[in-house]
Amino acid sequence: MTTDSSASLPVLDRLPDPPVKDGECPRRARQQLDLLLLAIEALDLSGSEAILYCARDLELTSIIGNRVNLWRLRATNPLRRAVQRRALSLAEAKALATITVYLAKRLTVLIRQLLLACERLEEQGLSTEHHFRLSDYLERFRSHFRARMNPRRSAVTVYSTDEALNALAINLLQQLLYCTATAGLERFWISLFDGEVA
Amino acid sequence: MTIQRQYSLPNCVLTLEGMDSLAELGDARPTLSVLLKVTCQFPAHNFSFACDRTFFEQFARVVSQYAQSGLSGIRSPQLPLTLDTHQPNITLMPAEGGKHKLLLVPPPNPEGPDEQTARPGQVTEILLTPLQLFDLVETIDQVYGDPKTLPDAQQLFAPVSRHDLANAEPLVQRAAPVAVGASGLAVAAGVLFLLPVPKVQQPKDVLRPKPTPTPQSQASPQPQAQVPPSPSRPEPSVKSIAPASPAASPVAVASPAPNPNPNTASPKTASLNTGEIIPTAKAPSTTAGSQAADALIAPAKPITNRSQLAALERYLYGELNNAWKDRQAATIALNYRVSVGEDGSIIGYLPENVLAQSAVNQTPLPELLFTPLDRSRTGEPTASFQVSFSQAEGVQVTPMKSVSSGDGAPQQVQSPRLNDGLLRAEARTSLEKSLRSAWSRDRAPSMPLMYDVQVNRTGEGVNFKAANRSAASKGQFPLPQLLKLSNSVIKGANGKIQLAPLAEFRVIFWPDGSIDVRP
Repeated sequence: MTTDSSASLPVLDRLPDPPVKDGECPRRARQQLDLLLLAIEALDLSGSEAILYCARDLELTSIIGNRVNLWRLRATNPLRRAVQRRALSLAEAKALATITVYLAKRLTVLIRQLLLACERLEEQGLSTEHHFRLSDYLERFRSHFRARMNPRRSAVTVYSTDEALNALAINLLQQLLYCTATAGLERFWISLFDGEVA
Repeated sequence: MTIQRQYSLPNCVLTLEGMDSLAELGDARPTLSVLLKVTCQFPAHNFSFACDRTFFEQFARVVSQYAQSGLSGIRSPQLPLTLDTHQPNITLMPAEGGKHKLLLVPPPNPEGPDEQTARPGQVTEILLTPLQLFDLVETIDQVYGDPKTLPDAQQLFAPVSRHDLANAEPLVQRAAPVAVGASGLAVAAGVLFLLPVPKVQQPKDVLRPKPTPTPQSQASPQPQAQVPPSPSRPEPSVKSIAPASPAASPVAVASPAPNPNPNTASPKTASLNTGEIIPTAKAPSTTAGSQAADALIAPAKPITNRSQLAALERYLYGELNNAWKDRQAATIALNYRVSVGEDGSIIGYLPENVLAQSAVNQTPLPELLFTPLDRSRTGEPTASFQVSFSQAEGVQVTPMKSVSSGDGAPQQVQSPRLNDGLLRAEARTSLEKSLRSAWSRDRAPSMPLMYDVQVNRTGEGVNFKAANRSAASKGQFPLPQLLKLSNSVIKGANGKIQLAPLAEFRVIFWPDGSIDVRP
């Protein structure tokens, strides 16, 4: 559903509308939203269900009502195998961003744990396999990424190795951490349009 | 009463000291609206610094912008990369190992120097892990997020604009691709400039076999061998030669038409007029004409176009008439068979009676004969005429019977009409002039005489027709010397003799001696 229902959703009103062309999200924003949700799914086993529940809790069902809808919105990520050639409206992007931040805040403890583990391992010069949860997360992230992203795209071929994917996964984890800040949602929303507005 | 508030996280502790200017009794938690001092501590590094509200706001802005760049990967150009040590300043930048470098020039401590604080005027560098940086971000967010702390202060989030990003790149770097492209174009242009310009060659006409050019041809016109007998259009590149003048040899020499077979006329016409030829063909070849005539064997095409034949006949008449000065010798009619090329030049002649043969030098034929040096040319179309020179009747030219004849005498061939208004006007004026200069008043007729006179484009009269009864009864045109049949032919642009377009005017001779020329 792509109705412009943000007017009736106070949850989304706190987010400003950046001056983008045609009210559509830029490529990088769509890519980022999908990847962060991918990271959340890798963090939490029930990630996919959690997204739908979150949508329901935040009363965003008019935008993200069911699994298929959610998949179609996320599949506007240009790196996907089955890319949906449709635009992602600002309201839809706000919904996805809000859900991402909400879920990230729920996973704050886990995110901090994993990042701390990362630091420790790096200090000691150990590889990531030594921490169970971290390696678990990284492995799930890699498999999700490889399953869903189109390997022929040049942006995806950069992540053809495990090391590159691991680095991406850690980077996404840090981004999720920033999302958990008090002003995390506003900051995250605005950061999606960095370099995209005039 | 000062208020102290602390926002602490494991890696960063912010302590705010201030006052409440909006004190309301009964508030559980006062509003810290006036900020006096902020202390920022990093326990992990054992580092802290203090600052006032202004610096704190700058500090908060920088940290927030850096966090935003961490999320998007795009650094804001407003974040400086180096620090000016002369004033309090702060910046953040990525460091190795995923860490972040905090560069700080702290302001003077509002409460005096403190050992634990950083020294003002110096750049202090602190390496923060992601978690430590996040804690700093979070504490600042909490400060701004607390409705009871600095309620008037707000965090502003703005995306990095494309314009700023583009301008952030140094001008030299941005201009580099343009400069490389322009210089590459200049180099390529210079190299290609050295390539020679291809020469344009006019396409050579390979379809028509060209005859070898004679050294005699002075004019530029193209050769005309193998041209079909009755061409109607002159070729554009050939200069048109003025109507033939009595000068014999220059005309003959300047004519570009090759005359391949001076003698070809005779065998060809021999086939046409079987009875007459044989005795004359055996005539002793003492004259140059008959020598030329006997030389070649290749057949020539006869000219069959009626109008061309008519034109050639008139032209030949005109030529011979003008050239024949000494008319004494022709006591008896001297008959010759003359073959003429398309351009009117006499290619060859044969005497038809014994007297003609011996007296040929008294006729203009030898002088007018055009003998090409190169005799290997073949097949120029020719026309044959029977020419008779006599003292009584002057020059008479009649065409030989050709294969396709059977139609009327050439006189019945109509000259084309001159239709161009300008040329008609010119012809009229010159006719008027010539008539008036030749006319004298004492010859004025008693009755007005009207004639229809045909003139060519230069106003030379060709023919006349009586237009009223008195003219008809008079019979002869008053100024017969102005009418020449030879004026009715011109040498066309291709060197061939053609019938000239004629215009007809009404000439009236009045009794009072004046002459009118009407269109």
